[in-house]
Amino acid sequence: MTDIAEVLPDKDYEFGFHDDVKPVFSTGEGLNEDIIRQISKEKNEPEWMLEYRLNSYHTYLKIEDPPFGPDLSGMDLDHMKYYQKSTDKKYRDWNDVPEKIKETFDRIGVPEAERKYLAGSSAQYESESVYHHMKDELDKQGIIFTDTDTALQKYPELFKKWFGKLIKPTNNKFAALNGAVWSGGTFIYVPKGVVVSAPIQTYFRINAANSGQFERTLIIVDEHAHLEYVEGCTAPTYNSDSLHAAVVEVNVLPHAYCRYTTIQNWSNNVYSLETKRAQALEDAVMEWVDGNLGSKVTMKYPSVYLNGRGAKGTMLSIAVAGNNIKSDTGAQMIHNAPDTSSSIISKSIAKDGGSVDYRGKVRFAKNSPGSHCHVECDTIIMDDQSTSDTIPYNEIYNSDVSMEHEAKVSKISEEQLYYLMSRGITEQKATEMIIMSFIEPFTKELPMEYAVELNRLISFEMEGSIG
Amino acid sequence: MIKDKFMRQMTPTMIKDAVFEDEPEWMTEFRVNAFEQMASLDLPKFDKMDYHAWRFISHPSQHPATKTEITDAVQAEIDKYEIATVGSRTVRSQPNDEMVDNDVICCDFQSAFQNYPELIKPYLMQNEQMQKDRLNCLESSLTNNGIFIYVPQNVKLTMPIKVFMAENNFKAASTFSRVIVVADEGSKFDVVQKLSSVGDQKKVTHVNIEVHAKANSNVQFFSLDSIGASNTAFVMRHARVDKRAKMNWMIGSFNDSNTISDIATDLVGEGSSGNTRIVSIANHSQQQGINTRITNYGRHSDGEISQRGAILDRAKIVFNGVGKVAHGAHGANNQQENSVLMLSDEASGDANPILLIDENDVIAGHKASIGKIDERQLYYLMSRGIKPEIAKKLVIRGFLGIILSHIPSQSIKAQMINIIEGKLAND
Repeated sequence: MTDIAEVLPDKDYEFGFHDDVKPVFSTGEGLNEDIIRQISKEKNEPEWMLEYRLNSYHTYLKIEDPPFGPDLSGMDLDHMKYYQKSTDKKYRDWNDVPEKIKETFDRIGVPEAERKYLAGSSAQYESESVYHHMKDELDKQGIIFTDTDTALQKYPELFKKWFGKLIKPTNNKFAALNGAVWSGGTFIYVPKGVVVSAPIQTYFRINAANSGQFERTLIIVDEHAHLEYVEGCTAPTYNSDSLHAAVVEVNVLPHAYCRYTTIQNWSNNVYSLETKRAQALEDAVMEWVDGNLGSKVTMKYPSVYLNGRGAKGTMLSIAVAGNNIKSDTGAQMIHNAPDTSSSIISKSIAKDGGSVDYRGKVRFAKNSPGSHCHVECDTIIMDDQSTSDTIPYNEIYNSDVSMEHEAKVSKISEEQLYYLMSRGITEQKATEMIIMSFIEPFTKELPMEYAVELNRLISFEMEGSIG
Repeated sequence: MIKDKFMRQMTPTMIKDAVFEDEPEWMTEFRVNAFEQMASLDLPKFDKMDYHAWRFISHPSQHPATKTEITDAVQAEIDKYEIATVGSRTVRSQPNDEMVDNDVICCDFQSAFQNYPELIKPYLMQNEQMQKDRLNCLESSLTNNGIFIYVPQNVKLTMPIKVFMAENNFKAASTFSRVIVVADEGSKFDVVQKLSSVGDQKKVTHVNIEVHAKANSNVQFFSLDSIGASNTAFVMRHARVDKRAKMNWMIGSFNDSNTISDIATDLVGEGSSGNTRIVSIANHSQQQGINTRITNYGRHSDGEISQRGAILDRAKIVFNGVGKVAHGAHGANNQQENSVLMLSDEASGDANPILLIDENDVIAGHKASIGKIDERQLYYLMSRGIKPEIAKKLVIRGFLGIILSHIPSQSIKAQMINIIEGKLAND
């Protein structure tokens, strides 16, 4: 058997560096009502938002950790920094961004990707967005692409109409925490019939140790509009743990299309506990493309609520859990309307003692006749130290529906290895080929031509397995 | 201690009511131990099954007992079995000639305590270790009806051992039945069981079945569960399978009662194998929770689960299939398949195929499908001149038929078909 380490090397994390940017404002360690008031005041928010935050905070105090999934007791929530602002303004020109922050993003490769391919891009550093840029022609089409704080100030009515409609603070403990201390995130509104031809991207970076990043993303794709959105995440390596608890709400209105691609590559001291929910109305299409490569613990189960007749939802995900990584991810497809369809394809790899779990839910509600769902979960466990659980729940409340679910867990196929090796290919090379073909359904969906950097992240993790 | 809802249903005097006449001291001690552990243990967790607020016991004080009536029809049926109990009373114990010739033991617990105390003791006590949870402790401590079956080394039986157990719903007190089946090394036999009920007083009934399949043995356990609607039923089945032994469960879960049914197989020995097939129909406003688990501990052990269910009316079935592979079970195979047929818009169903894998040198897989009746099959039958209602029944019967053809008792097979027809007749 090949030493797996050669194929999927446990290399140093490439983005583990940090810089010494001093925040211009920080609420320090810990959390209480005063801190929440400070955050709201610093952001100059309307009264209703402060109330929303406090209400969420009280809910947060009442909710326990999730009763399932990885152990979260190692997180030091009392000494976490919940709000840190690194610059006093948001920049529209990359050249104006403070040198150190710019260097960080340069090293990650954000501006390069933007210059080449993206319609718009944004970068969040700690709690606040520091940079925002969108091509002028998109501006003219009436597309709103800004950070969520700015959206609250500039588009109060649109904001209030959609904010928090899909995810309530009571959804789970970390959605409640996000409701209390949310900061930054992306706000996108695509007007009726507007097709955004190239993807829009946001980059999230945690820099300081013991930090919490609570971005709040809200997307509205109006009727017949089309949007592709991409997000990427990295953080420095520290001995202490950071928390990334995002809340993402995506509304895809009738006949609209949205694809939301995430490449999560946090360093292995980040707890990534995210709540992502989309609703797709009549004949709308919502696609999640979700790659989870890093972090210490990931818990994330993006959902699509298929609320309009003929709506479609898909999830295509890969998860790679290496040494000590606990990845507990999955998808939820909730069929609430007739003739809706969904599909989930999940590919997981556990190696070097990692644990990679799939946890999903498919529900056909009473009013979902003619609906269909297809689920496939495949897992490769590379070595004797790694584990994988597959836990799909399927709930059916209607007789005129159909679903298929298939899952498979195994090691690398010895038959395939043998076949390749009998053709004179080395064992290591054969293993690489098998792994690459295993994740191919995912990689081929990535926007190769433009988001260079996302592919780089994938190939980084898989280095050695690429011919 | 603060008592939770479950513990409020329990009093230590219940043990006194359960104790068998002349029961050995160790048995009573075992009951007391199990009872004392209950408070500190949890009920077994079955995903998506919320039964914790159910009643777990009914008391004699709740209803006055009426005279137990065993109709001629029931009596005629009882006579076909090797051993039969109604409530906590043994009404028949007539091993067939093949069993007698081969020194097969098949008797109630009372006789086992008299005649084979040393043989039954370790198996009785093992129960606790097999499943350490509150429900099992309850069933261990309050056992008031028991059947012990022991097939000696290398005995291979051609005729099935037939067991009949009816809950007595003329009386209010719960029956806690236990069945212990020991297949000694190299033995091979079938057990055919029927669970049912007589009378119609509301009550809670418990059946706890354990099979110890020793090295190289081969056990097929068939069961027709047809407990009446006035019950709440807890039916627990556990098997421990040693080296190269084979253990097959084939269960028709056709209770009319709300039911929690757990079928767990531990493939402990190297090269052991287990196959669990269960079919179920739920109708009216019945709730059935069916949890099937196979755990591979042994190297090269092989487990397979098939679950099929049809749901009618306002009924609900939750099917959990759990395939678990423990670390070190190299070369293990664990496969499962769940299918649910939805026959009513008001019905609801869950099919949750779960894989818990702690070992990499395995092949584990599951499939689940949920849907309505296959239109093509219907169309095919109808194109042959078969009426739609009959075509539909044939398709459903075919769907649920995966165990029918294996049943070694014509009478049980015929009954199973009747029950399926009867349940579908309401549709």
